[in-house]
Amino acid sequence: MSAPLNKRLLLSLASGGLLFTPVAAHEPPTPLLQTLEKLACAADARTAQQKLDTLFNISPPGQDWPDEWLGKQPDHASLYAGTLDIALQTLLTTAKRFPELRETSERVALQWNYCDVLDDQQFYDLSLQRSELKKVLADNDVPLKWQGFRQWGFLTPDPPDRFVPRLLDEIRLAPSAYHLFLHQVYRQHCFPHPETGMLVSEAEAPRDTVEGHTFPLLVEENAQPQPYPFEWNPVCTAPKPAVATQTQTAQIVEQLPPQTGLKTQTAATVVATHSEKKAAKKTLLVQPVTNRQRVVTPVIPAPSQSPPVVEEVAATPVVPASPTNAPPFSIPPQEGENGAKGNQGKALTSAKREEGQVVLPAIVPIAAGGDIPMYIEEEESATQQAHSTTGIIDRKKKKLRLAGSFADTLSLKDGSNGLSASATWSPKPNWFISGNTSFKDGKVGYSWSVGYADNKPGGWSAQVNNWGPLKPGDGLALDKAVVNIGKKINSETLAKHKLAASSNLSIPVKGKPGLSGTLQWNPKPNWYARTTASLPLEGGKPNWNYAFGYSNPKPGKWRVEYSNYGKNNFPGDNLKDGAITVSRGWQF
Amino acid sequence: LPASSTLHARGFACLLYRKGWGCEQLRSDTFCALSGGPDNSCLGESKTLCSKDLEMAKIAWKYFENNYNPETGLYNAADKYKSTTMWDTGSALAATIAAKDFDLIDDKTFDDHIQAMFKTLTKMELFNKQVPNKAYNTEKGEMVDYRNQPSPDGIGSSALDLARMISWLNTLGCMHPKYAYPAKKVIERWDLKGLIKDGQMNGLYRDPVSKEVKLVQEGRLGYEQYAGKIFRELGYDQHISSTYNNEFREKIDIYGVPIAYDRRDPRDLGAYNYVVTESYVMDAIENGIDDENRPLLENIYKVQKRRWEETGIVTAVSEDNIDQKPYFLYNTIFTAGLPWNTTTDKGVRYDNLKTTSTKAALALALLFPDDPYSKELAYAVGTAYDPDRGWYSGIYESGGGYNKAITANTNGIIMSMLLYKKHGEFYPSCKQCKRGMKLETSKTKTCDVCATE
Repeated sequence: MSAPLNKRLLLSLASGGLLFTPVAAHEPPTPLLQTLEKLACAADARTAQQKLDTLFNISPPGQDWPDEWLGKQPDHASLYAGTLDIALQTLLTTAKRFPELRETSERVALQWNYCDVLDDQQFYDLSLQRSELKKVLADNDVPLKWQGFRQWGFLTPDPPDRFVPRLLDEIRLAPSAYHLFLHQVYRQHCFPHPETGMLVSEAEAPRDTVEGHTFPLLVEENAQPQPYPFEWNPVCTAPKPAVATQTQTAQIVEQLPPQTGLKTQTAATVVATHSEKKAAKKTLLVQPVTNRQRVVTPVIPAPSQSPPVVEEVAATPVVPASPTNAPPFSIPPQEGENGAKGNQGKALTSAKREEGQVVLPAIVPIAAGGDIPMYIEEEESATQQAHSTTGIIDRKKKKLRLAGSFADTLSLKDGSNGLSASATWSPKPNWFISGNTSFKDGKVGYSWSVGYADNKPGGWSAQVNNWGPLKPGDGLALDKAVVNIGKKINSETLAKHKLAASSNLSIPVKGKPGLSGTLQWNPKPNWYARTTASLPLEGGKPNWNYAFGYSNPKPGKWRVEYSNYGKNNFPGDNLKDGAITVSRGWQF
Repeated sequence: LPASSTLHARGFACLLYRKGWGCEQLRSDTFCALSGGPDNSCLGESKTLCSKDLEMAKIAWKYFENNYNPETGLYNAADKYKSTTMWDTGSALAATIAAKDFDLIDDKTFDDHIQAMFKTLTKMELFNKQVPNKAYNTEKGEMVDYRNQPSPDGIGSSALDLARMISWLNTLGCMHPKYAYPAKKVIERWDLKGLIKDGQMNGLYRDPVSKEVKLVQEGRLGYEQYAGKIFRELGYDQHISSTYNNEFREKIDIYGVPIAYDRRDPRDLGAYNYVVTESYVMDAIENGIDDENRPLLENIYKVQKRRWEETGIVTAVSEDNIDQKPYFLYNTIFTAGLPWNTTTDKGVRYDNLKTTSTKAALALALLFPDDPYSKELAYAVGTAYDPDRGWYSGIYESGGGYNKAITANTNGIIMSMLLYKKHGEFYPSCKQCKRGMKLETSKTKTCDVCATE
């Protein structure tokens, strides 16, 4: 089915002029932009997969760049560099929102040829008319300020977390086949090199392979850049917007660079050396940029300018956004994060942590400085490779699976100071043996824990603890040990409000059992506040305790916590009886 | 034998007698004599290995002992890494043949290993139901990708890899004729016609983006001729790939030594034109030295010797695993327009990680034993091994110590070099013995041949 053409663009074409005529007002989005908007707003992986599928094979005949008209108007194919910038950003966001779609997102981006759009350090808009490829200098004032190109490594400097397609970075094919694949992507499609981040035009002397236009090429040397005619304000109607993703998006907008960062061409080198990394080698060519404010008004195309409908227009209605400083677009919740289908159990393993998230243990310690340092599972490395004619390339270095911490605790109640050191060995994920030794008031004490701790939402924990402090010579003191069974609550509602909760049944070997519940709030990354209410099951008063502080869970980082682990009565507090603990953890 | 066994033996013999064979043929040492293995006298007189040779072989075989998977009969391509290719399986087969020949293993162990390998080779899934996949898991025998992750559809196939496997299946059938037929059946199971076109070889791979299977010309001067000659011996048209004097041959002088290389530039076509020691050495010992490859081989030796003379660096370069990032390097005499280019699969140079390759050094020393430089080579790498794990891949030129990567390829080539020392060039010997493998004509017709008929 051929899509109806945008009338204004059609008029432009009919008049025999260039496609890129000056436009004063925003045009309705083209089919490619509509598809990208739906992809950005996809509420689940299945929908996103469908949209990604429509982005394959949308190039005009003989070309490898994506057509604004999805290849359905082969006589009038065109592409704005700004749209490709949006496409790259949307594909990257999709890969992050739906990790299972990362490979498909990468495939979409890797199928395209970027040589004509980003040529000799300039962005160009492209059009194919009457079998002639026309390139017109693109306006730098595009909606995402080349953020998409920058994130994938096309511009200088590379962001610290440059997105490198795994399909390109990992050698999954036979090396001889990989060489051909890399050649096509890097040399023939002008995609950044997976290791150096450099473009072929920067790293090597020009060669014929980057040419090869099947159509006559006309570069409008003297033409003035034409304003980008479209808006990019995907207004999604997802029922549960993910706060974290909104924040991420807002950060991206805030971090838009003051200039485009287009780079000058370096002296051609045959092959990049390892040390000649892109960031250190390139220089900036500062371009004037108009600091146009992003428009946040709703996109409601006038009937006379109705854009070609790609599909399912009714399924994702465009609704007015907040007229004030609302985020430019909101993105539906990530799967797994808010309990959507398809990703449960994949996003986080028990000890893997999201950036800035302070994991609430199902079984909370009962004394300041008494935390059990847990071994953080490393991300799966996908770099293990075999090789033609020989064998391995990369093998995961074997870890000791030891985690440890040192803590200094100052009691506000009596002014005493205590030092402690903890070590945990985790032979397998979630299983651990831990010991803690402390030095306070000239006395040495220790405690121990052993068991299983699955601290992800919904996970169970079962441990035997002797919270101590035991004195030298006490041995394991099993008669003073406590059996704890804990359960982390799995709740979308809690997660939405940055809350985590757990319950814990405590059964002393000698003593009365108790039940407790803990609620933790992570208002900002690495900041937390936590409270535990305990109820003796065989008589006795309920009590509560609390703690708050800052904790960076990464190995080698610091934690500062105020805690009051006393058996405080309901209601009331006694801040002055608490303790301040400073600790630092490692793992090997 | 116990008495009852003797009776049984006699009864068996008299059964034969009734069929006209005659009881008088019975000998008391029947099976001792009959199970002694084939008569390989037609292969020529074998030389005796010295004690140092056998010591080297024992170290190399240690690798294969440690990395054998009885479930599949496959050996790991690198130490403890449960993946392999047909190239590495060829190396492992060479090592197994050599181990038997050097009496490092007995008949039973040898047959157990070979039978297990054949069982896998005859049943394993093929890429596109056509030819072996590029990589297999050595424990499960399933197709995997290059990260040893399961790949039910496969990732592609390499004609060069298959050539190495064919070469050693040929030698197996030649030195142990009882395996000639199953070896041939293994190869006949593969649909090789699609890989041979216009006198050249092609590889298959599944494009990661489009997912389409692509057929691409494979091989550059060096490895191309090593593999092309093997396919030619099998009966395939390889009029371009089996000769070094083809249209793609180019020459560059390095240290005044003319070095042949392939003018198809990787920066234009993607495929690398590595000039390394390995392909020339393997061509020499397996396909044989002739007037065409002799000067090339001599120049490969000479140019490395010249570098040593000029720089003091003991030079023997090849492609090798290394024990640190980037974990694999093509340490070349020439590639991509540069002499002594040390590069990765991604085309990034790592000149600081150049190594003296153990397999290259020992092979050159063995092929040119009378040249004083060979003593330098053998001396330089003579201790580059772990007695419990096998030969290291090399030694870092710049003083970084041993390159402790240990692989089937390095150890397999060392074993095959020693086997060559004992028996000489394999294909020529086997042809002389009329034990060279040939496929039926109908199976070796390529499409271009069909078109002309």
